[in-house]
Amino acid sequence: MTKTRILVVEDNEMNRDLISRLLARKGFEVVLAVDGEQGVAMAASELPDLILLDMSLPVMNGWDAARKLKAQPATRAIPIIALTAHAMEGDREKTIEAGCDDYDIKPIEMPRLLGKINALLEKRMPFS
Amino acid sequence: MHAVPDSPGESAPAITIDEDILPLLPKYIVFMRQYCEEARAACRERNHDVVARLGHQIKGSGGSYGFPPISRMGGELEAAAKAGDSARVESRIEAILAYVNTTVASLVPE
Repeated sequence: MTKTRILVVEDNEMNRDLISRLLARKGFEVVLAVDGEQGVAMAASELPDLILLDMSLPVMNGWDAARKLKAQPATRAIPIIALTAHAMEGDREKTIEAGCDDYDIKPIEMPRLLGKINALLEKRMPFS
Repeated sequence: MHAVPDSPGESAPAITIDEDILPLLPKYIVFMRQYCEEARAACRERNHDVVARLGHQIKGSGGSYGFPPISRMGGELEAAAKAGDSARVESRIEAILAYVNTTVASLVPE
C-alpha cells in the first residue's frame, strides 16, 4: 500500500526535523523543502497528497508559494496547511485568500496538526 | 507526558513534554549546542547579523519541542544581536546552553 506523502516546506531545520520525524512515526512519507521556491518545485515533481507550508520563508514566502501552487494545474488540487507564528487577527483569512486550505499556528502541537491533516486528507481521499 | 521545571532551581513543574517528542531530544540537543557554538563564533567576529539569524531560529524551535523558555531566550539573543550588545549575546548563549545541558538533557531517555 502506498504511503500518504506530505511535503513539509520549512526553513527552520530544527522544526523541519521535528515535523518530519513525527509524521514519519505516524506512517507518512515525508519530503522536505527549505524555501518557497524549492517547495513549489518539489510539489510539482513529487505531487504530494498534502503540503505543510510555513509562511515566513526565504527566497519566496509562503503566501507567494501558495498562490503559485494554486495557479498551476498540476498542484492546484493539493491541500495546503499554512503554518505561521503570526497569531494576528486576520491571518487565517489572509492564508485562505492566498489559496491555503487550512491554517495552524506555531508552536506546533502535533495532535492538533494531525487532526487538520487527517481532515483534509479525508476530504480529498474519502475512501482511503 | 513528562513534567519539568520551567528553569533550573524552580520546583513547580511548568512544562510538559509529549512522549512522542522525547526520542527527538538527543538530536535537538546537538542542534542547540551547534547553534550556540556558531553564535559564539559569530559574536567573536562581531557578525551580529549571523547571531540574530541563529537567535531567530532558536526562538522558532523552542515552543514546538515543548520548551517555551528556549524560545524566550532565543528571542532575547536575537534582540541583543540586533542591538549590537555582545555582552548580552554572550550571557544569553550561556543561559541557553545551561538550560539545554540541564533541563533538556535530563529528559533524554536512557
